[in-house]
Amino acid sequence: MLQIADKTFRSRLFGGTGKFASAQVMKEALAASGSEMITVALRRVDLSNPDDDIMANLDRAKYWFLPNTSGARDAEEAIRLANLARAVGNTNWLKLEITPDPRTLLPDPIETLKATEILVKDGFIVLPYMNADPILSLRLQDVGAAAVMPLGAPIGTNQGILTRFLVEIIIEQARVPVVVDAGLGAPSHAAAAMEMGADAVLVNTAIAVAGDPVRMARAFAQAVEAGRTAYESGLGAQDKKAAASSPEVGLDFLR
Amino acid sequence: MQIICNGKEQEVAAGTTLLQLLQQLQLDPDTVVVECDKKIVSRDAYEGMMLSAGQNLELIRFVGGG
Repeated sequence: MLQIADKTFRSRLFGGTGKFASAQVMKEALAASGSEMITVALRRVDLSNPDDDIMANLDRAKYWFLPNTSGARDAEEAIRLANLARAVGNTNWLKLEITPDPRTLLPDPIETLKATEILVKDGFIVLPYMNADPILSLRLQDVGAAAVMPLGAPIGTNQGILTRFLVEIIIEQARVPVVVDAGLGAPSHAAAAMEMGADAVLVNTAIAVAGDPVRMARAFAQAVEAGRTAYESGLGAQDKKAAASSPEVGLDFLR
Repeated sequence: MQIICNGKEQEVAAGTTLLQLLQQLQLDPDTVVVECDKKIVSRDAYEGMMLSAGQNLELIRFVGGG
């Protein structure tokens, strides 16, 4: 079981709710993913479309909500969004996301550290989205992050874990759960993260934009489970030199 | 009287409460959070809060996101 703060989760696949073609597809894909924790964003209500309410399509008894601060460009904006999320969602859990540059959507490390410290002191359970920087990861843990969320690749790129070496260091040093977030484009990427010892992964785009999001959600669930089981089973060591799998003795009759 | 609602001017009758405005806009008060002049209004206060001219309201809710 995965534990973050005082909550335990059976599923190590966290689901995003963005970019789905319809609310129905989102609902079915989330059910197929087995996710227990799902992210949501905060935006102005579209007054011309009052019925477009995601909360009408998601069962709060079934899912643990993790509101994000997407769209925030600095700590101040993120804190404003965090307080709104707490008010609308009756939850103090937060995926802290501060991305000042729309081209890369990379997280601002300085603003993220600053906001994490302030929000933790204000009673939030903060899961910061961060670049795969092992020192920043330690600093975020020092100020009370409940988990860290290093990126595999920039948001929505489906590039996989381009940050493997650094994520390995982050996992090795972590005192809180590590959730690999962003950039995981295929189930094999998610499995790789889990084999490395990540505690969980967060997937949105790769499922939402798949040809069949519901089946892709299932594929990710299977990959996460396989990767976790492999990690817990202890992977064999890698070597550059070949070692025969078949016995090397008993070949005398050939020569 | 005029208020600003999500960046646009909106005409509301004097004496309208925040809860009534949300109902007029066909919004579920349980899933919408309101900022009035950048301060969050607690949900318990929706019913008793009388709107006044010139107030700047932001109506926010959860949407899909990653």
